[in-house]
Amino acid sequence: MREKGAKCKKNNPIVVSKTREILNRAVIDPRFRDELFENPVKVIKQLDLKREEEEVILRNLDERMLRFIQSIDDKISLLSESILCTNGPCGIA
Amino acid sequence: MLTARFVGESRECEILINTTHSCNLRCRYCFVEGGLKGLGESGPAVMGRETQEACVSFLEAYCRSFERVTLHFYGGEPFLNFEAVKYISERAVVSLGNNSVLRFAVTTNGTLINGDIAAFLDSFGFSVLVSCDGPPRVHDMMRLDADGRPTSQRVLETIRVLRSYGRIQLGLSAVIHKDNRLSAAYRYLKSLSPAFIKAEYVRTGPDDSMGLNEEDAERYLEDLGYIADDTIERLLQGRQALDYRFNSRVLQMWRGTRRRVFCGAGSSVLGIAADGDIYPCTLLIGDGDCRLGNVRDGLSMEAVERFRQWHSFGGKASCRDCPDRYYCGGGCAAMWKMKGRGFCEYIRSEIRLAEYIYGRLSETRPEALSLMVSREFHDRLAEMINAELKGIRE
Repeated sequence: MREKGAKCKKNNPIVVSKTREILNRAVIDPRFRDELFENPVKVIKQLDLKREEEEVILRNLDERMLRFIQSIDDKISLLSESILCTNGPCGIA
Repeated sequence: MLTARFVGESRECEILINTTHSCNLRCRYCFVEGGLKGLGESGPAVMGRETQEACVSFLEAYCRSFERVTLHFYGGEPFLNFEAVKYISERAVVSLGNNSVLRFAVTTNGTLINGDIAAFLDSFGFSVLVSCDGPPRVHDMMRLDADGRPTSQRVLETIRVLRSYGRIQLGLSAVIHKDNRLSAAYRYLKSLSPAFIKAEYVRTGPDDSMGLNEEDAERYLEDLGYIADDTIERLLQGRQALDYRFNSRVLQMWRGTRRRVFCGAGSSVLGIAADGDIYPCTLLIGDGDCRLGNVRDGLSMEAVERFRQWHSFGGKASCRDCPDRYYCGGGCAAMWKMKGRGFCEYIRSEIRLAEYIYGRLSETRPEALSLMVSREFHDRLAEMINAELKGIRE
């Protein structure tokens, strides 16, 4: 993903905004994050960006970040599947 | 958006252990009815040592398959039998502590906690849920001791003392009734700086004058909206929710999963009575139809299966085609038994508000949803996202 010699758009607002959008969507949408992890190039190319903007985003999408996002489902499942009533029974203490 | 995926089996369990069915208070709305609820003259009021031993053996076998185990002491007033709380906790650390992450909790009226008890709770890192209905005037309307004396000052002193201990997670619990509005109780409890708040409508028997009438119920539902807004504000500020009632449904929405049952009663939640009998939940103790076994003999799998079938939304005719069944799961079993209905209006309102919370956060700051999982998870996710954005900017 990291390419030597590629142009870097510093602080490009579109790039920042699109990256935020990608990350937000990855956090929320399980299918999107699986696709992003499997083939980030394909996913980024679907975003209607200029080539140099795509390159910046792909260059900065860290593998560690992608792995962590991919593990989101497992992390939230522990609690969402602990289908307990609030902090314990819903009775009168 | 709901997928076809159902919530899986929980990897966490909570075992509610009634160390005694007796209580030193005579709260006017109490479901325990002053002592031996449903047990008459036949059941012991206090869990003796032999039952405590059998309880620990049962827990060692039953909880083995769970990654996280919470032992939650209940009553009556559990500190009327502090010896049992201490003994079971100490034995559990040895028997269960190597296999699972073990946590401890207690629900208490807060009137019997002395220095020794507080030190013990701190050493074990207990979550302590203290009953406090609201300001003294409101609290003392209902929560009186056996001599009819008010208890608010004792409870407030207990809260002050418990807050001074570093490892105790202090929760405050209020009962909402026609003279105690939810939003007012929530605001007051919040002012006492607890780690979490629980405030639920009064759950008395079928013939009660303290239940919420139509007007009270409307106000209760309105006040749930106030709590939802407070939850959103806190999450957007990077703080966890104080009231957890929306958490599991919001997390369900995040994962797109459906649920078959309202809660883990009968599988990941069990209630153990003072005589060692096992029920799906502490609120069902004494209900012969729901008895699942005893700590000495184990569980009857037939009884467990029968309960779980009934407890699911599929087990109730009125729930099978309900559009909210995948987020509700069929309602609280104890409420069905106690009141003959599931209080659908409250559950529906909580589901709508969970949708509202999820919608607001997923549009503005989705990583805030991770605060409903844990602080640690949120901090890691936020750090990763910020690092990515920083990399893009530089």
